[in-house]
Amino acid sequence: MSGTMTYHFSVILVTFGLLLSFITYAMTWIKRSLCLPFAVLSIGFLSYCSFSLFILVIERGPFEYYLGGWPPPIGIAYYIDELNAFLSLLVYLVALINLLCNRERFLEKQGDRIGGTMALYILFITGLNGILLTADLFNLYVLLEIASLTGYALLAIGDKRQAPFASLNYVFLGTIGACFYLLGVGYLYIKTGSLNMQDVSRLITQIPKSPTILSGFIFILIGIWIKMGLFPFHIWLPRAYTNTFGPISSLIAPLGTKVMAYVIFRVILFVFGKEFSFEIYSLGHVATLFGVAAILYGAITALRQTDLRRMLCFVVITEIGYIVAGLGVGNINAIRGSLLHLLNDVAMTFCLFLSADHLIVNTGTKIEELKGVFQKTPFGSSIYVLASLSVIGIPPSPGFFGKWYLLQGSLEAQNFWVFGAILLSSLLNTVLFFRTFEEGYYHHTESPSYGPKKTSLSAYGGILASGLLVVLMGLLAHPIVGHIVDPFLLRARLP
Amino acid sequence: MNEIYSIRPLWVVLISLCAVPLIISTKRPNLRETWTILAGVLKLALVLSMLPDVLSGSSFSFNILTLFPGLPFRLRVDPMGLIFALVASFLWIVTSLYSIGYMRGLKEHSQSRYYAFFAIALSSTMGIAFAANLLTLYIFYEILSLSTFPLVTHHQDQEAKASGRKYLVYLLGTSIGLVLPSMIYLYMRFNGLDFRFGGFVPAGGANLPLNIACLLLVFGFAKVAIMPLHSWLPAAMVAPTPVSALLHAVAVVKAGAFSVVRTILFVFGEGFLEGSWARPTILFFASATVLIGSLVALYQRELKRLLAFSTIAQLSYIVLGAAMLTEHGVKGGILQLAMHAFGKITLFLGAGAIFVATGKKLVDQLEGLGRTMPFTFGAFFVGALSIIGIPPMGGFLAKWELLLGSCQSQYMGIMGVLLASSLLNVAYFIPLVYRAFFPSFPVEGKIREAPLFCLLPMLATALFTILLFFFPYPFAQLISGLWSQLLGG
Repeated sequence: MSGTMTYHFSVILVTFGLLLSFITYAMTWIKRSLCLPFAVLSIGFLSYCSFSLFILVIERGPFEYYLGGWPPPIGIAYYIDELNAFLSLLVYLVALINLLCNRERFLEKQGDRIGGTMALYILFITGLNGILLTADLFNLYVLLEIASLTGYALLAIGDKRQAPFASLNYVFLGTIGACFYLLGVGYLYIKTGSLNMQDVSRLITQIPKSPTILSGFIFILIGIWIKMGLFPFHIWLPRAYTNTFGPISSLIAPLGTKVMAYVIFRVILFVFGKEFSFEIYSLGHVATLFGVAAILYGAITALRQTDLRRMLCFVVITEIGYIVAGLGVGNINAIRGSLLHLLNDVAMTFCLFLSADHLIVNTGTKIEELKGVFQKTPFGSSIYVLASLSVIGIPPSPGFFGKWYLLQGSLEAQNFWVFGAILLSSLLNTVLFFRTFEEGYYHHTESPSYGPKKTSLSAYGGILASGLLVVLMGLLAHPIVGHIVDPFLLRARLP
Repeated sequence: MNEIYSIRPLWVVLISLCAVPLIISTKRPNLRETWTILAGVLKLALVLSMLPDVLSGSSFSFNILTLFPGLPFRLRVDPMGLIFALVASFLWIVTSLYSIGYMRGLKEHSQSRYYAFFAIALSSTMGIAFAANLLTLYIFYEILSLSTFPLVTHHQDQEAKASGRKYLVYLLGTSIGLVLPSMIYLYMRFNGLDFRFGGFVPAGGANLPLNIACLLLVFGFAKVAIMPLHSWLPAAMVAPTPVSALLHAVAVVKAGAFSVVRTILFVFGEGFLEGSWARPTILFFASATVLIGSLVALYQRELKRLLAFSTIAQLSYIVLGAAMLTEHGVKGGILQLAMHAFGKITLFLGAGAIFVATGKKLVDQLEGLGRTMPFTFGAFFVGALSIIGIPPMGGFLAKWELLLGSCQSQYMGIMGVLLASSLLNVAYFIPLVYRAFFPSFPVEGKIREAPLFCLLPMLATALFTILLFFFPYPFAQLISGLWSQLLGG
């Protein structure tokens, strides 16, 4: 395919994503069993587009894409750089692996509603992808709502009765978050008269410091923080992710919060600018405070959990804390660590939720029900162990590299709160995960018929793929930093 | 001194890792154990193949990856690493043979898992030996802690659970809590962590953060079991005996000692430590560990726990030797790393053989057993003499160098510590062996020795303990090479 065509993939990813999701639903009118294969093909196609886009960006550098050829500030622009192209690729990969891995379970659980479920599934990742690629603040809001609304619907699917209620809870808070964001964008629009990120960032430096801009800044920040589940705005997160259907949790838990975390960086570094955010509005202290609080709260609360997936939700809250704390520290190594951790965390959390879900299917949702699961399903358990070790930060897993940069950055800034919190949470995570390992490991039976529930080859393949993704992200940490994270930081004019 | 860029060190590390899928997938026990032995022999052969070049002053290196700017994942074979690799890879073969007898004799469960994790542990041990910088060493160190966890807790009962917890809390807690921050600090300050003869930290020992960083590293490598971070080691004795033998006499604890020696000689170096207060602190804690460890060993009723405390004391000899920073001290410390391995593994294999043959674990129960198991106790005696440091056993050479080293250094008190410890070693080993051969009551019964697979490896290590006294090459050669490079650097 020619190079110019590949440029159009930026918008094709979103428009075709929307289109394909509706076609997927339309498939139910022809034959219901076609829905799932068609969804797989669609996501496969989108993954291919995303991959080509990533290659293009790596080869030729970042570029702006004007929708319909209308340049901003009139038209909507998409801005593709190494970081969001890579993140977008990760989103599609996760969605694809997750769908392939849980094919049977989707059919079993949602068999008669598979068309709608798959349509929502594709819409959700399309929304996320749009959030990543767009360079327009209002367009971001629209796509955020697409991702959120489909997310609510997906999270309401559940084995438990609480799932719809937990999702409703999330609807309330998520709507508040989205509204806050919209309000913030409105304030910016009042002052600057523009919605294009680059345009706004240029205009913002030209107008004097005003309460309107500050309000916009705060509203946008809090809105996104609610959506990304930062402590203390996290209350919707454990409930929504715990009660939902397993394959949905392994889709949304790794992607939803991380994509929003990316938006924070995008908005702070490319709209408001580092100087504005840190020096005028002292974001550093606030983010450090929230980040450290989230790290400690997540790590300690996780220890108290009896439900495996709920425990992992608190691990997610800790990880979000790392990302925000690194932003708070604000020097190059800390932000590098934050971004690297963001990328790695997609792979790690995905692998963790996917393999944990496999264990839950084989045993039960409670941690104490994991007894003997290592013997029962040694393969799934080893991937679970791999993901856990990565979260703890055992080298050379990806989790280690993110933490290293974060630690180095906080040490350089002499920010011992962040430094201590990261070390402490690593130790607490060690205790946390080894507690689950102990349950799974110290129970031995000689009975030869003791084996896993019938698991298809594609399910094993999916779990293996998620494990490989974690391993690869760890081994390639240095190139990822060099080719994906650092160019982003360079453009953000962080020395 | 020339560097040879070669993939060979990586193969040494990987070869046992490659054997893991074979070990797991093989259904027949005989074939499975053949893979283990084959990997062991290949590993030893590869290590030996590097010996001539290293003896002549070259070193092998290989870059695997870049981890951070200026900080590669890199292997480098120098004399010190080669000593450790030689000892560990040789004793792995011995222990594997022994494991066959032991595990089958006791009909242990999950033997495939056992051999698989053993192989992974050996890979990481080689990685520690050949690590070219602190981070590479740290990575393998962590993998070693984790891969030995299923070995220590092999029995999967309540006792194993408690010990496993202790093992991990101590080893991971210190490595994440102490080593990691110290390493990041050093990297931040010096933009690299490559081991260098004489250390990469500049001279001048008064700097407070650097002193703290040094202590964090020395205590953070808790596998060396300097008190007060020692109590994981006796707890880990719940493992099957071959595990205790190889890992808790050779691979794991020596990995800790090796890391500490690397820290002292190759990270901080004489220039820095000379005037620092970190060094007297290390010497004090190591001396205390030597004395207290030996004293506590006197009061142990269980044979394996006695050996564990003896190990704790003997490990600190290595730390003492390195921290003396004198020619003979360093030589003695590194020699101790090799010699103690042979002596202690003989003792552990002996304890295991006694357990397999008679089911007895306690020291009191050994009375008179020497009559029924003469070979086992003969080997045990040789091991004990080597630990005490009596010629003609290999252990004597190490003690001799250490004593010479303490004479050269400004800390003469260390000599007293070493001598007192030797006397204590006599006090806990000799009565034990004596009563085994000359019981206070008449013993009836015919000779019933341990299985041959247990007996032969033990006799082999005992024989090596003696041979090493007469032929300490290549270790002595490697150590002199190391010392001249230290001086040159």
